[in-house]
Amino acid sequence: MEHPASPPDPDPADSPASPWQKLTAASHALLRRLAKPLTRRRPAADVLLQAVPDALIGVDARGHIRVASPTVANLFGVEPGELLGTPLSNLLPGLDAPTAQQRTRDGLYLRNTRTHVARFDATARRHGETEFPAEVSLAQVEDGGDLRYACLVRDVTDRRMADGLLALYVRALDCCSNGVLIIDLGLPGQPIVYANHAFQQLTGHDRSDAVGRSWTLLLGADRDQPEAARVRQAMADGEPATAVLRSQRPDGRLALTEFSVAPVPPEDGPVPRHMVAILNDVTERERARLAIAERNARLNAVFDLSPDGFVVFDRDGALLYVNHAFRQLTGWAGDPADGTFTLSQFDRWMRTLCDVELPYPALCDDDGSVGDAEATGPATGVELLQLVRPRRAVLTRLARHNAGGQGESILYFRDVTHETEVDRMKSEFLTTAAHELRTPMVSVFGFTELLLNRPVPEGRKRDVLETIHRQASLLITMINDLLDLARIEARQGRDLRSEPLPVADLVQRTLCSLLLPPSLRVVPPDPRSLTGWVHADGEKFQRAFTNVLSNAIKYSPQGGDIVVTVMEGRIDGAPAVGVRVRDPGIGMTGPQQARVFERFYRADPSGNIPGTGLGMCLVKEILDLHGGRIDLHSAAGQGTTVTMWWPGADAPDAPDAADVPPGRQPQSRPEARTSTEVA
Amino acid sequence: MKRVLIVEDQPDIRKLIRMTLEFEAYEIHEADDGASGLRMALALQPDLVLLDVMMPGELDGLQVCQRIKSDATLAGVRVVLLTARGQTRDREAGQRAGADEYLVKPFSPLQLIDTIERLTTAA
Repeated sequence: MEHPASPPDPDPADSPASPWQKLTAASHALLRRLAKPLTRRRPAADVLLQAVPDALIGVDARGHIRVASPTVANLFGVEPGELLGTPLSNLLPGLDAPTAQQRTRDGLYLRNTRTHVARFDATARRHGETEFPAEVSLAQVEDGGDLRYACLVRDVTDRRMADGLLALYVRALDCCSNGVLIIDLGLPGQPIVYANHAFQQLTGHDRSDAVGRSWTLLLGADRDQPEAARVRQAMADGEPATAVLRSQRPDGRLALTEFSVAPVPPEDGPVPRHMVAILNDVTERERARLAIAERNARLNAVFDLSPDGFVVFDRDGALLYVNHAFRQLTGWAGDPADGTFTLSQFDRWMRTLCDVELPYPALCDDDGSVGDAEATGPATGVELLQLVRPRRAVLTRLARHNAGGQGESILYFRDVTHETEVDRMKSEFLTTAAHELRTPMVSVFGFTELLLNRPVPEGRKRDVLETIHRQASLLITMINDLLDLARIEARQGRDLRSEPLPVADLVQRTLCSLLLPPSLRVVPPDPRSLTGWVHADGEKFQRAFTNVLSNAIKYSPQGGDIVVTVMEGRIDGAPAVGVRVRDPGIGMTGPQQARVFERFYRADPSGNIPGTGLGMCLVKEILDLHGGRIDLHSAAGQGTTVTMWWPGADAPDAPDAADVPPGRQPQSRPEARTSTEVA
Repeated sequence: MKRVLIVEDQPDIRKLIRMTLEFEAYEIHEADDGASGLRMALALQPDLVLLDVMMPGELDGLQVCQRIKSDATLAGVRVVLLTARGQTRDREAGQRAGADEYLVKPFSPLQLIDTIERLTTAA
């Protein structure tokens, strides 16, 4: 029954003044006095006994109570008188006479009083039912007459409870997953006085080794790290602090340890004597934090490089992020870091940028809450914004409400101005092309239907067939021009076979293949002007030149001279060769000239002059591909002068170079010329 | 004899319409742009105008049609629009201008005869 945690009894012989011995002696003497002149000393004994909080009980050889101090009432809830003659084992179950004898025999023998004394923990019983922990001292009195034993009982409920709590605290600290240290600031070197189990797990330092040493054993060789200095300062000031330390385990492995110290409030006085430190291994956490920071940096770079705009609002509708492209698109110059710009302000601001004809679709309701569509759906549909400020632009917007995660709203803006414009032009072009193709079809379809359905005299039949043929030819030319144009645009010059070519050759070949009405005459260029070379695709050069010439012919119905001249000049400072065609024709007004390169534009829409309205488009496209230029001068009734400027090229060095076929000429680009060669 | 006015800028198409109608009993007049077409309509009081929609000059076919239909002195003049634009949007524009009929180019000459006959006899 001895409590294992009880400290060993001090040897009363060695320390005669110990309280225990005094008590035993007192109880012994008391018992003897009680046994003899009990009545005479009664009042004095009562005073003495009541001063002792413990219950004092005298027991005879049979284990029955013969005498009891008044304090038994406090401990056992029974008046002393009621106990007389009852067995001690009613109060202390199991403590009958043989057990008492055994216990005392096993106890200490005090020679001076010739007493056997035993001290042990027992369970006492209050009111015969409630049990409580008790510490029992039992002495066997050799010459006590009918009193055999003196029994001292102390209620240890409170002490046991305090011991239990302390043990619980220690156990709790030991199963805590954070490392816990207690540091004594009052001892030299401020050693660790307590380390829990987790400390050992976390740091690899044996807890029993750590006790007695400074907490800086965690740091290994890296003792002077700045974070450690913060901890030292906090301990010197008796202030709490948290630091992330680079720590080293005994096996050399490095780790990051979060180290939080706090002063333990002292029981007395203002200066804390102890610090408690909580340790946490944050290696993984820090690694993850760094990885996230790195990822964020990468994502920010991606978002900032993106040509599309991104804007992010948090769940409460405060602006979090705006990327570079969005600022470019909209001219937004604020700073999201001030955290005051809200979604509804954003809506109001965007509305001022948008065309009133195509109102801005608001993201949040009037009360500032995000609309239902965003709150429930993963993403709204693509919405079109027509901006008029800071410049005219068409944007698409996609809003996604991130219902999981942090509940942000992410807005995505894309500038589709160019695509929209291209789309519009494409569909306009198709409509126009279809319209233009239908017009010659009227004659082809209509006249053949008439020929099939009614008799037409021979003479008129020929005229009708000529009309059909003319209009069908026009259709063919138109389709060819359209295809050429489409090919040039689609290839973007990739099939351009540019090479140095003698301009004389190109001009003469084109002029030879020309079919002229009798009323017109072509005045060819002066052969002395034809010494230049151009850097061009021969086939495309001839195509452009032919188109310009055939316009000159078509728009000169009254006849006359078409004059072709060739001259040297410059395009953006680089040498160039100009091929000029001047006709005596009907000319064009200013507004007509402005539209001459528009597709299907006809200076003469009457149909008297056949044409597709694509010829000059083609000429311009071809010159653009070559890096050339087209100049046009005209006035109504005054004829038209068109000059095509082609990039110049060096004449090959060999004296007989002119005899070499054009395809074999050595490549040379205008910029390769040296200044001395420029005329 | 019913009077028909052709307003069309393409000479080949005017020739086609003239030839289409030559065996019918129509008195045919021609104009090659909107302005002269309107002038002639006011002067001739035709029974029917064949009107090209896309014409150069100040007045296009739709505008001429509107003027004819809103002019009290030309009440009862039937207008047939001839156009290469056959989309719903274009037809609706023709209806708004008050056209009686809308023929899409290329049209069938025989169908043109039927249309003209139907419109002129109903009048």
